[in-house]
Amino acid sequence: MENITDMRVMVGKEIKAGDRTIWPVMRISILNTCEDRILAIQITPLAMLIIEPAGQYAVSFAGEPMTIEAILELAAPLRDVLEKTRGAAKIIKVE
Amino acid sequence: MQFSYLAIFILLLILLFAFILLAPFHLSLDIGKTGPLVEGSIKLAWLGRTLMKAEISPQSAGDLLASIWKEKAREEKEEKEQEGREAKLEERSEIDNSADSEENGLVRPPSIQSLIDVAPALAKILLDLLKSILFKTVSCRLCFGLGDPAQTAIISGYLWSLASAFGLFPGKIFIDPWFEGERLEGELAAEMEARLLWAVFAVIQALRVREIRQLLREMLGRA
Repeated sequence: MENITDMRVMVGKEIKAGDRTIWPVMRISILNTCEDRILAIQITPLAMLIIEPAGQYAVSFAGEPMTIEAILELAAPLRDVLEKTRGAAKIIKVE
Repeated sequence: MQFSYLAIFILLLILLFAFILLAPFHLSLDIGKTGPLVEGSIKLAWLGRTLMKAEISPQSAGDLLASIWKEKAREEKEEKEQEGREAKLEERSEIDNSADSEENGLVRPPSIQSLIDVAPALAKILLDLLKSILFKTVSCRLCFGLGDPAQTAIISGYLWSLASAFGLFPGKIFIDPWFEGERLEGELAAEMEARLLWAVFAVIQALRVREIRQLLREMLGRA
């Protein structure tokens, strides 16, 4: 029964809402058959990183408070997103 | 004596006609896209003889689309030139327009109401035609990613549902979602067989339906 379930945490496509950008983080669980064919996929939303002009914060769908560090630990690709945002914010401040 | 020769001739003609209608056409389709390259072939054969064969040599999808667009642009240009010539000819001639359109066999677009009326009959005939196609082998492998894991999973679900609803070849359709980014790769290989008899039968059946006859008359401008 090894490798029958493949689980990974991924970052979805960003959602823009005015000045706010939302980055969803989800867990994708793939159930494979013995012949290595996909039998089912389950997508579970875990958290989201919200970037506003005033700052950034993370929201967990489990209802518990979540820090930026925790969401970065959960989904490493968000580190690049944050760095880019912080870089852009610095440029705006200098201008 | 002459009468018997004529009877034999008619009989042979009927046999020949029946043979043409019953001998199956074979269509082989093999198309694949790996990375940016698209390649494949289409072959139509009848009685072991190849009637048509087209091959897509390995080229990138961008090049393929560019060549299709170029071909379309050339055709459109030619059509416009042809239309220009026809318009000039029409200006010169003093023949009545209505009579002219009928004689030239110009097809008029049908009304929406006629299309709505004819839709059920047309769907039935198309289904009959589809039933006459015998899929000997079909295998399809599709690997795709839309850039968003959630959207990719949703579309995968839809595609699996469709494949399951058709339920023709459950073991030979592979749909692999790609969650790591944007991607479109796949292969489609199919061999099918169709007899002209069913197509002729479907056409005759179509002509027996009043709504279809009405639509044809309308398109030919005789309604």
